[in-house]
Amino acid sequence: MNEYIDKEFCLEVWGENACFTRPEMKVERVSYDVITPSAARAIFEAIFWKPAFRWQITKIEVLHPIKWMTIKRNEVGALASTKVSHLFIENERQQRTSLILRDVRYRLHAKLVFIPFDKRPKKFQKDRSKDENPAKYNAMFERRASKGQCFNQPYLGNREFTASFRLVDTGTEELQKPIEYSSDFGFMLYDMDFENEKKPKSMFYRVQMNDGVIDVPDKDSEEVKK
Amino acid sequence: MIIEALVQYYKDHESLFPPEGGEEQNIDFVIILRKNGSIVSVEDRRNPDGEGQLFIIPKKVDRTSGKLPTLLWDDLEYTLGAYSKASARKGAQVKCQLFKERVRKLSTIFPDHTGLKAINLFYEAYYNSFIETEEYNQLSESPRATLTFQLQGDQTLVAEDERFFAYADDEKTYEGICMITGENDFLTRVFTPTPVGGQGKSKFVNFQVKSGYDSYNREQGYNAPISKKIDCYFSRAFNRLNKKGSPNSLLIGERRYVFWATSKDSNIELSEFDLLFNKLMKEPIPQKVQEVENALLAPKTGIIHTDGEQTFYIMGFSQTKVRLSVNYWRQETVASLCQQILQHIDDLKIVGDKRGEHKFDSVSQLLKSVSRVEGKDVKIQSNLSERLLSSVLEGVPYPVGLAQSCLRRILATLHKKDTKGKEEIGVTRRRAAILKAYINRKNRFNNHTNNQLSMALDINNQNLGYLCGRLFAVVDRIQEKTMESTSIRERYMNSASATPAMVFSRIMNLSNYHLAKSDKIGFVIMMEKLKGEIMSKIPSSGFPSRLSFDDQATFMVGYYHQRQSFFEKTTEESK
Repeated sequence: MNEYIDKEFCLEVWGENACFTRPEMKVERVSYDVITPSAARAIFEAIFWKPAFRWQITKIEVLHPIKWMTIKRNEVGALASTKVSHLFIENERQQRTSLILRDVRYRLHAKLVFIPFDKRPKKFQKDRSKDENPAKYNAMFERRASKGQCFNQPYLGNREFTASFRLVDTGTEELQKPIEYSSDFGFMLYDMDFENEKKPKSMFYRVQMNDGVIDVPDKDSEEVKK
Repeated sequence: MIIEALVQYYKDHESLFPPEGGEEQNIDFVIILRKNGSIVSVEDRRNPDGEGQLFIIPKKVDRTSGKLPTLLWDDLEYTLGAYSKASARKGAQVKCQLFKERVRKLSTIFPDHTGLKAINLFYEAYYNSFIETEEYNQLSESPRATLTFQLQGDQTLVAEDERFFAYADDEKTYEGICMITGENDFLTRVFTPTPVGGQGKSKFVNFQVKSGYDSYNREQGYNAPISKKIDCYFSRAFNRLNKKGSPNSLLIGERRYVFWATSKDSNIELSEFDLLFNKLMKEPIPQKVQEVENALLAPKTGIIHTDGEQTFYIMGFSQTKVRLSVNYWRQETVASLCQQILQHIDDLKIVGDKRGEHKFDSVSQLLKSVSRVEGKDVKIQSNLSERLLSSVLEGVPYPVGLAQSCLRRILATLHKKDTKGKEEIGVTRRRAAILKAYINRKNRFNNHTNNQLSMALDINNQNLGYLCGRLFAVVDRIQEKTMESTSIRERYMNSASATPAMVFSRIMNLSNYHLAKSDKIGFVIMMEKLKGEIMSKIPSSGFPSRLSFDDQATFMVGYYHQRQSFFEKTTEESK
């Protein structure tokens, strides 16, 4: 019986600006130094996602030096709600500053982790097709990524900072070297845990970057604090 | 990264801070009690400015909504139920009740404490008669004043007992993972205020309820899980660094900056580099550049106690009444920072000081020289200060806005007469230095290293802007010496620097008339020679019809260099 190993894919992602917002400075946005696994997952999901699998980020490589930029924007300071008939944004305007990243480029590695039918949430257990297998999804992702197809435009932290991407074949291509910078960035947001849909929990992990490479631990490992 | 750095600062200097739960606060009035609770006197501890005396006492509670008493001290509403408006009477009574209960609760934990016993006795037996007195009525006029208790014969307040500090905060909050330490701990719901420059309750981290900041139905501080301990640490560190008169905090233009270098030796309260940095950015006292350079080379030569591998943090921020917003953040090793600053100083070096020693210009002075002066105010462009500071620290070209403002000020101030040193007139040493540095840094960054401007007059420089500037200086000097007038400078500098072709033929003619009037043969010959030398370098196509912005800046530098060379020559002649 062959052991099934989740296939790992690599995407090179770049953009003019990025903002991976720190939770404590969410109002006057300040970005983290590097991309969060949460944002990286979102990029993969924007290209391809089905309830049959989840993306597990394994490695992040930083290809451009970390540069900052400050911008001041007119934002809205209230939430729209279904219970209220309207929200006049002009009455709720607030001017806020953001400290964001400039000219970013990353190489993201992620595994497509297949979820067996029985382990999926109940609402996704309606139709079961007989020939469902992980290879099918792997192929679909590869096709879509190489064509540049996506469900929605991938973005870097905030929707206004769009990301461009391309599929990278780590075996055959000559890869751009990551930056020669090593640092301990302290605890950073790993992702949100949606096991309990009503009250998602934040997960944190300690980021160590060695010569531009960050090894991201598995979601269920002990390095991820919940 | 910012909070972590502040927490590290706190941990390195932990001995400077009071135990957790304690805080420095102003107390206006102190009631002296006997052991049985009766009053000896009510002391007014306010200084002539109206501020109360400072004590280290339990932390003030955060009262955003609802009635919450601080432990063992508070304003007169809570401590004595004082009220100024009749409508506040009922509320004040409730508040006083809450305060009394809090003291009672504490005394159950410390049953033998005489100070606490006295306070409880005061409320039970003597409070009701006290509120009838004239003294009480006088106090009621300012219900916001703070009050606390002291036992007769004691040197310290009851509230100053450090054992009580742990009970200052008895709010039950959720437990969770603190996002700074990764440990499970009690999270804080609201954060300690970090007001800088009198902005009241301004905080580092602040989420207003239902204003669009709540994520997944979390409220307030739970949106960013930080433990109470960490909140205490970083806010204390921040407040200390920004205390009035602290050398770690600077106001440059309209931006406030706070900076600190990590110090491994916890006995040194302040890193020596912090003091140096403060000088570099702010001090207007003329200092020799050589001294400053020596100080910056120190990490290599070891003159100051600064380890080059220490990290230096600088944060630029602005504050509103509600929260703080971060505009700039940089962390760098002291060694590389010194490198950048040395480069900046080197770029600014220019000829033209008395006694031949280079003067040092702080960033603050540079900004002042390119800004409009209205009476006592200097109106610096809003983000120029942070752009200049960031380009100095990062080693990139100066902001174009700096050079533009500089040029504009030069042309705008030409007409002004003596302003008693409040504002610089025309092309001063500082302005010429700024333009020279701007050009050089820009060219270096773009790898055009053969276009570097020198410190003093460079007769081999073929740049058209430079040559036009030199020629203009010559013509200007001729008029100054022969006619004792500077009208050519005032009227023609603007057009000569922007559109030389239209202007130079006219002013060259004028200078011929001026020279003809002079009877000092030596002077005439020297000027003619100089004119000839400069003209020979101008190409056969003649004066350029327009000069680019960079060339206009170079014009000013050329003008300044040539002019300075006249003064050096005259000092030589006078010897």
